[in-house]
Amino acid sequence: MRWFTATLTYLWSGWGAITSLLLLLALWQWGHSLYGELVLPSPTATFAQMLQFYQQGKLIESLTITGQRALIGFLLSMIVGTLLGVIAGRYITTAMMSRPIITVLVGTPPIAWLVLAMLWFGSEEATPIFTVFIACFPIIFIGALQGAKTLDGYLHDLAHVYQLPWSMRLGDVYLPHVISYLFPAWIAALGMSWKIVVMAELLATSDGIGAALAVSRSHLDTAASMAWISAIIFVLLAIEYLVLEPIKRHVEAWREGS
Amino acid sequence: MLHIEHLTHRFAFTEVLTDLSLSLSAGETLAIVGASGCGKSTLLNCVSGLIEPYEGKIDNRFKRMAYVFQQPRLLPWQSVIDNLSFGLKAQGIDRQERYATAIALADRLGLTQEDLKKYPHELSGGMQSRVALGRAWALRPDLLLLDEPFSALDIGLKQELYVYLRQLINEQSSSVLMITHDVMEAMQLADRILVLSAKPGRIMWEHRISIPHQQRDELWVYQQTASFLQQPLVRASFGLPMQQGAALL
Repeated sequence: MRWFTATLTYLWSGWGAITSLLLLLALWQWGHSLYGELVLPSPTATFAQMLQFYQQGKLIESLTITGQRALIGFLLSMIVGTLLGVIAGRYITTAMMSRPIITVLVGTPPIAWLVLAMLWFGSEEATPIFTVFIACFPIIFIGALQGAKTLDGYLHDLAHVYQLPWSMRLGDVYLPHVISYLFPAWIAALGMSWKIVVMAELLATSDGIGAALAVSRSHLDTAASMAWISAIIFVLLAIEYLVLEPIKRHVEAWREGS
Repeated sequence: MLHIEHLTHRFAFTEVLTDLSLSLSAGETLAIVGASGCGKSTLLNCVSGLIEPYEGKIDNRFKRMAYVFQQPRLLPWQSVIDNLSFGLKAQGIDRQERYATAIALADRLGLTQEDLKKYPHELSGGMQSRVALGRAWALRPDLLLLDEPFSALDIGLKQELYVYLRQLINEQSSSVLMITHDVMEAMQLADRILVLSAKPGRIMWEHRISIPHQQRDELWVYQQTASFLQQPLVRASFGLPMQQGAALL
């Protein structure tokens, strides 16, 4: 019952979000009336184009391809980043040593990784996946490192004083603590992966949404470009508000101010 | 029973405790008072096994110890009922039984059914302290270690918790080893007070209180604390000026 009312409240709160999105659409329409079809096609023309893509089957096909690449890259990053981060966080030496390396990784622009990936892997599947992986990696790694590093201190004392068996140390104390650091990092990385994959596809592959965007750009087809961009944003919004946000609310109910 | 003989502890080259001997008998409440940094917490950590003493012997015959930390240190991702029954879970007691214990304890501590479902961040400081006390109490300890758990609370909340604490101690006739820098707190709760001097910590003074806890009223606590603080050795331990009659400022 509590869950049900919480869901209803959440959905109801969506009205505010929808209102501001509609406001954005109005601005878009206004821009269209100022600059005309070639510079900024109207929302209706854009959505008509999108519908056409959908009827041709291109929309779903491209979304699936792109989504798969983003997800594979993210999952790889999640596994490797979490494992290495936790290990690095357990030892002072590795924690200190990995710090500057991570700063370098975070500071390197994703487009630079893309160039390297294209040199290494060519125009293959591996290029966007690698770019997503390497862009997400430092975010997840840092989350895991911080979580593992802060395990000592009071949690350790508590576990010792209350003589917790190892199963409880792990399940009730250490894991929830590390996950409380990891979870926001995973979320941030997942959002990032979607943006990075489109960029990588634009330059490196012949299919997927990024590639379709590149084609429409070369044809100077602004309506098609806007249709693809809108599709990307739709997916982003859907992931954020229908998947991530509800999970976040559920998992992090114990957090202050949530 | 707890016997500590010639305990000395140092961190690197700094000696924090020097040649400290004490014993605690069953059912006794022993308060160790001293200025901040006199090694009180180190002593407690040695007794609880969190740190290995550098020299000396600790003979601890108590079977079930429970520890209340300076901060509540509840698990933020667990609800109050799970936090209360946390120690019981470690002992392998099944869910139904430990929840029943937690509910009974919560009632004793003035927490409502609603509070049991809450997460620690939704509770006030005083309530968090009560849960921390309850978590230790759920274990029915024969030795309770208190590391200034009331120091961050206001005078009203402190008094409230003292009442709960004394009730629980009397019920289970537990022994208590408490450390505090608040002499009035010791005067109200303890059967015996030991004063530690700072740097390095050693026992400077011992004070026995024979009046039963129920007969100690506010005035008595004030008067006893005042005369306790007249002792030159006690004054020295707390770094108070030796001239007692002089104005403070």
